[in-house]
Amino acid sequence: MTIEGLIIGLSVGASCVASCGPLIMSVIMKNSPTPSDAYSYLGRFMAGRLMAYLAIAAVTGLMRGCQWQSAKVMAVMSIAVGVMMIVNALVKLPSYCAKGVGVKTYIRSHAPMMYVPALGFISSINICPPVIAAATASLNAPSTAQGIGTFVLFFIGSSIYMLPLPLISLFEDKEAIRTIGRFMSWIIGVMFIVKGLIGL
Amino acid sequence: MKYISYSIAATMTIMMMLIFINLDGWMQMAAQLPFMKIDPTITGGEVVDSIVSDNYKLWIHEGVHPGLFEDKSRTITQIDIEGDYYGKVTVNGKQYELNATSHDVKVNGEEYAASFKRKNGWTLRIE
Amino acid sequence: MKNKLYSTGNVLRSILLTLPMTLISMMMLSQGGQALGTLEDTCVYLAACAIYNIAFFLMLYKGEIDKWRAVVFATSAVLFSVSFMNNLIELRGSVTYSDADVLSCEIPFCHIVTTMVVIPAAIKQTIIFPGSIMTGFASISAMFVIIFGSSIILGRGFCSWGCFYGGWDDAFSRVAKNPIIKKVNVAYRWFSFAMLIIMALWSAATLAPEYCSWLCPFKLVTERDAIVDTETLLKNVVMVILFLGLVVVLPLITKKRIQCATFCPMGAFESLFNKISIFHVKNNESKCIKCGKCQRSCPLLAIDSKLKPLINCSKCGKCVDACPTGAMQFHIKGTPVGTKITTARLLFLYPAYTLMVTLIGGSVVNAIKIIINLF
Repeated sequence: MTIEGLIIGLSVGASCVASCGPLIMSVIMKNSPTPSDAYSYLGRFMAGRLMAYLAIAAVTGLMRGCQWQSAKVMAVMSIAVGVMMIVNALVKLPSYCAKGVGVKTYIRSHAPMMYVPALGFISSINICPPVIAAATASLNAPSTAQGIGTFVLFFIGSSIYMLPLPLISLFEDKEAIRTIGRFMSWIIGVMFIVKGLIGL
Repeated sequence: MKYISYSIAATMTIMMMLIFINLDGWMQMAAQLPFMKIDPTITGGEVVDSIVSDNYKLWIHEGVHPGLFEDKSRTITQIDIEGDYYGKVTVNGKQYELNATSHDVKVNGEEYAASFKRKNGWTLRIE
Repeated sequence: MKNKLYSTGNVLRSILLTLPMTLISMMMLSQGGQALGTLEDTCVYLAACAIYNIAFFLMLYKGEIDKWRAVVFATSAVLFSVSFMNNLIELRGSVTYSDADVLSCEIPFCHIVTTMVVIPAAIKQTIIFPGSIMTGFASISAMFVIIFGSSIILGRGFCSWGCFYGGWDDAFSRVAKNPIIKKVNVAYRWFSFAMLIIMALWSAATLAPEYCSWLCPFKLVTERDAIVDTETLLKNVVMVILFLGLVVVLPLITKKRIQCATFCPMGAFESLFNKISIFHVKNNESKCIKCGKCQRSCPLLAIDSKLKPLINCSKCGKCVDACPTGAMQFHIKGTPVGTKITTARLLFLYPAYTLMVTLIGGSVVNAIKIIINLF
């Protein structure tokens, strides 16, 4: 496995925080009052992000030379991220398993598990600028497996900078943090929807 | 404790005045701080080559890497042009055909070039 | 009408307490003698000194800080815009800036940009603003010193005593006698903190001051993009909408400083300095009768349901003036609450007013000359 991915990840990780940080920060601030809850959300977001990077690596490896990231696909992804952020602003994600039966209860009880990784997945496919750098590196890898390895190392390198983000949950005034998180979700949601509509 | 607090508060007026009275001195000190330089993606970076003639002047800047952590996979090179210039210029090992007049500028063979009108000519940014 | 709690009681005492500010203002407004060139210059200088000192005298004699502060603050903001735009017209021929001005790094550094340059300055050790480090009007190093110096001293007091944009918001919030919208959701006080985080991160991602590019309403009264394409047209439209909405209409109908309270990322940034500043506004609970006048009067939504000033208090003095019992008071950290109230008040007033006179006063003098020359 080439360590080029790790070096790229470490060198551009701050860009990842600047791009993805507002998303996960607003989810954490809006929903997670305790540090353990906050790190749990970050972990799920990272899982979604890792799935996205592995998917990109596999697709890039399989479709070498093909331009698969079309502007329209990116625009739709952008709108999807925007809608998800507005959902975060409006809905409180439960942190417990809801009791009862039925589709609604199932969705409610699994909502945190589905929503946060999905946000990480879609946002990483769409907006992460360093992904392009890592994609270039993985394209140059001798095989698809090594391309995937490059991406995993890039993921690890860039994720280090995200680790302090959940510490915002240590602030005393939880109501203020939740309100700021809700407003951030609204602002980011609108920004992404506008960006997507312009791209369409 | 309260006397210390009142003393500190009493000096705040003088501190406020000193900010402005000695502003030049504070500015000199602030300018020495490590981050007190304009980002090269705005200034274009240092000039590494120039072509000067009676009818034109050309300054080629060093390539700068945009991004918060200087993404080295991308390089943007700035060229400043004054006057009318028709000819080739080599940037980062690639040759570009430049046609610049006071009204228009064209760069051929570029992957990406942005042009900005200046008072006396043009600034090109080639990626 | 005098505020009996804080009025000095007599004219002589007020004059004596105004004297130090008179000396300070005459010294600072003279700009080392540069403001006293011709007879006309000297008359304008003396007029400006008189305006500032009469207002200060009235603050002390009447015992009302906010009312007279706001008169000077709003007037200064308008005159600052006159002076600033005139300077740009003399320099560039227009109040718009083009790519050429940006590439030449000739854009004056505005204090709101501070929020956007902090992260790149820390990581990349560069300033992502097309300004001049040392030369010209509002150089980066000068504004850096002024902003951080005055913020350490006054905390968010900068927003009510120094910011030449806040005066616009303050002015429009006082036009109507009664608000049309009487209750503003206090949660909106935290919107500016969300703006701060997003603007700081977005600008760090793009290495450009995005709030300035897209969202600052005060470009309308200073300098703005020349309209050359769809993007710059859109930026100008957004600027006008935000100015009319956040600075004119909403303050008119709510009597709150909506732009400052809810949108400005610099306001949120300045709030962090309230933790450092030795001055703050405190509620003396032994005197508080829980009437809520302080909370209703606060233009920045900075008083909570327990009638305690929050981190985003800008020390404008409106709640202090509104409080019928004197429970809301200027206070110096580390001193007993409820004692030496007038001393604390004065010790705050002197540096705050010094900032207003020095930072904006020069532009006020310049603007008066411009207006006189027009006639």
